[in-house]
Amino acid sequence: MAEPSSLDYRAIDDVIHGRVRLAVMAYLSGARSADFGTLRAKTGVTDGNLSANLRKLEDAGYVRIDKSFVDRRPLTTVSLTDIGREAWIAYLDRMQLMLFAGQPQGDG
Amino acid sequence: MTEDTLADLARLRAIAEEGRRMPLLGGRHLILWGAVVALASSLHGALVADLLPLPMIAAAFFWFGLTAAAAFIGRSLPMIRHMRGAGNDVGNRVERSVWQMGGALLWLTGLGILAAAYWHLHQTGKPDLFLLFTMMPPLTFGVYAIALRVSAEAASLPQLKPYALISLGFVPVTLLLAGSVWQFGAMAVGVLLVSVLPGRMMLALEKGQANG
Repeated sequence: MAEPSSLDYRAIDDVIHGRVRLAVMAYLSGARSADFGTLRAKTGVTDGNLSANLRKLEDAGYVRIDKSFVDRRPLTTVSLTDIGREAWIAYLDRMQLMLFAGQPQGDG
Repeated sequence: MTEDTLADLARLRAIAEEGRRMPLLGGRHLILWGAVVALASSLHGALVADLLPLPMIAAAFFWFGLTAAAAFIGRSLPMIRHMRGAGNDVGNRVERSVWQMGGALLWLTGLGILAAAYWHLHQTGKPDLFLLFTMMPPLTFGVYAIALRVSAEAASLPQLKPYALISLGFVPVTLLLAGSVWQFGAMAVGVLLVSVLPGRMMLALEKGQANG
């Protein structure tokens, strides 16, 4: 199979490329894990929107969602998986490649 | 703008790489230092038990000579760095730092005790301060316990935690044996247990992840 060219948009990971999912992945790549409330505050989206996007990331195996109770209150913790971290790094590499390919050639 | 964006992406990548779970690369050093400390302790014990026809000052040469040799050899040990970012992740950086500081603490304490004991001997003619060396084994096991526990946490390697507990267990054991020749034997056995065994495990994990 031929390697995708650096400007081939189809090589971009659709699971990550959504705006909310992108924000979640960016946050989790540094924080490793966060509770639902923190992610909602950081991304500024509604509960339903965040839940739907987290489900997509979970289905892809990029995040793990754990539900527990702390002081009798439900706590949802979202953690970046090893697969998710590698996918995130690959996504960043792809974006870097696209942006670099889009730059005019220098005179050096 | 594109240059800024590329720089941002590179920074994001660096953050993501830091969080990668990489194998700890200190296994070979753990084995080397464990073997060296066990050997020095055994030689010191043999000296105290009159099994070696050497003056007591030879103990200082055993310890400082062997540990200096280990430090030199440790620098030339081969590393497996097949994986991008290996050794630069948080786990490895924390592991290196805690062992370096722990090792420096032990080395400086040993050197300080030696200097103080000889100075005291020179001033008073009494060798009582040499007794302070009996604190070195429990202190060593304390450093091992802290370093192993911290490395386990930083690298998400819970298999190291039991060795930290074993090491902690050797603190009272070597204190109870202080002043007897058995303290040296206990130190040799204990150090082999808490360094060579986890070191071999870490090496196996490192090779497994590098090949996988």
